[in-house]
Amino acid sequence: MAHYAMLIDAARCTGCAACRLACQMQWQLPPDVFFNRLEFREAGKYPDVKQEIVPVQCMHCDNPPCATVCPTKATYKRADGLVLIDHDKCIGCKYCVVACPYDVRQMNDRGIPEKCRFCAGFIEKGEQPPCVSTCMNNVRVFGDLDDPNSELSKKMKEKPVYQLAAEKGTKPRVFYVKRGG
Amino acid sequence: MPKFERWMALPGVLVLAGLAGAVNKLIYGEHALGTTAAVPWGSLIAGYVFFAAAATGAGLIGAFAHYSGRPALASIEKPSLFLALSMLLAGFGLIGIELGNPLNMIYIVFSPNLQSGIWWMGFLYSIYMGLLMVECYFSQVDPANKNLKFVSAVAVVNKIAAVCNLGAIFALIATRPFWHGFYFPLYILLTAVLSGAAALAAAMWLSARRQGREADGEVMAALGRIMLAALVVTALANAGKVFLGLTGGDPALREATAAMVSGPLALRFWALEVGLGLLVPLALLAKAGGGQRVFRAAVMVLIGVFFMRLDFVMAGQMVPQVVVEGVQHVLMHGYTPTWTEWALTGGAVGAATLLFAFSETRFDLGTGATAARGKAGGTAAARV
Repeated sequence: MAHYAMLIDAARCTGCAACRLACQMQWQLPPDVFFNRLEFREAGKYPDVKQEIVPVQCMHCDNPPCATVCPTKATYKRADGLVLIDHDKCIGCKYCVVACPYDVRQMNDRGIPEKCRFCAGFIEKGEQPPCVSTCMNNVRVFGDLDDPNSELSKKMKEKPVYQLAAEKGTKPRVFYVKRGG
Repeated sequence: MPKFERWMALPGVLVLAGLAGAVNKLIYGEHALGTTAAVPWGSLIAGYVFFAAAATGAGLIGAFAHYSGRPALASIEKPSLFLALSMLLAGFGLIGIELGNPLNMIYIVFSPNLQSGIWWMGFLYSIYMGLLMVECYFSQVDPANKNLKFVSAVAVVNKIAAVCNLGAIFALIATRPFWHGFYFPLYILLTAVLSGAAALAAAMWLSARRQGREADGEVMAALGRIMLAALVVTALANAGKVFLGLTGGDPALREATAAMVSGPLALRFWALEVGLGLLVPLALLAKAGGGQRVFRAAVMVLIGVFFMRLDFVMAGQMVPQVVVEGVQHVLMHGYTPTWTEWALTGGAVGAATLLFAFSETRFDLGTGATAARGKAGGTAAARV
């Protein structure tokens, strides 16, 4: 069984937002709904300052608080690592939106929360998620962590990585390459 | 069909406004609400917590009247059941409209997640409603039924579990430091008793006025004493929460508390929650006085507790979460309830009022006269 994950080398990101647009096109989302976003922050100390970009999306946590709080198991964790939402079971209580420490869930017009799906269905056919394939700088690497020969597994060994808000105990499956690592 | 009385025009208008709000929510969905992805829970959640907790508090006071055998409280036993049911139904109405897909509630049964606080809330409050219906039924047809003692005992345990779990829904969310911890389940139990006593006092006073007589002084005084005790403890608990919040080590907790006492929520917190909801009722109830004084204090407490719920729900979500160190788009997330939300909340108040008034007309709640109180007292003795 595959165990999918993503590695993001944020230092390579130009901030073009093609990943966000590709995702919106893939899932036919309205302009104000997006499953991934770019966070911009200032780093360094004047006069030696620079702008850093950090792409953020659903972390497909191994210990997902959104799934723990869902009263009907509408949000669930698949054996291959994906955290998905069964729209037919969702009551629209928004408990998952409140509980997510990454602010990645958005409500759609049907009163159901939406978020990154790691492009389930496409990846099973061996395709890459559009946010990965559209990126001109190969910021994102998607793959199977259980396969030692996958590009992801190899890249994960090359540089030190970290996870966002790891102290929350969510065990995210989206990893970030440490800057200057 | 219950007879229309002139005073019913006000709750009737509120119900109509609530219906308009419900239609608007059905048409426009989430867009009809002031909530956002950053502040997903708004005044409808606060309103639901208000009604569910007050219903539980009224039920607990009714159980206290039932088991204590105090003559002064005997006459509130039946009204407490019907009032609790009326408020619970109003609360269920609010949450049903707030939910994006209430019909999918069927999966609470077919796909239960026992780790979820909301699942337990649905379970415990459904049982509470069922038990209330059973108690209401027996209070009318067979008050001396021996099984009622068992039902009442189960109901007491259920009420405490339900209201504490309601608090735990917030308290178990580790991502919201203002809500997180053991404090809120106990605090909501305390304030449930406060709002339940206030709702009962208001209902008993209005019921007497409806019949053109003065409310029973002993009953009002007893409810006033319960409110006074709960107000003192609530004031101390609030002071403790604010002190610990402002001096605690968690920056998000400090910011949320500061938002409440000196930030965007300050006016509502000091004027409505503390001033109108705590201090003025404390001053009114500390002095000896008649039923009208208790009634006035009760109405102020109910308004204060509603804003207490709203402030609590808001303060927990206003401080932006730190997802990426060094990134903060806004100092505080904003939220303003829309007319739809106010109309729905008002509609729930009107619906609870009319439901209780109709049940009072339709059933024997023992609120008619002093003689009826004696009968209710006898009932309580027979049940215990």
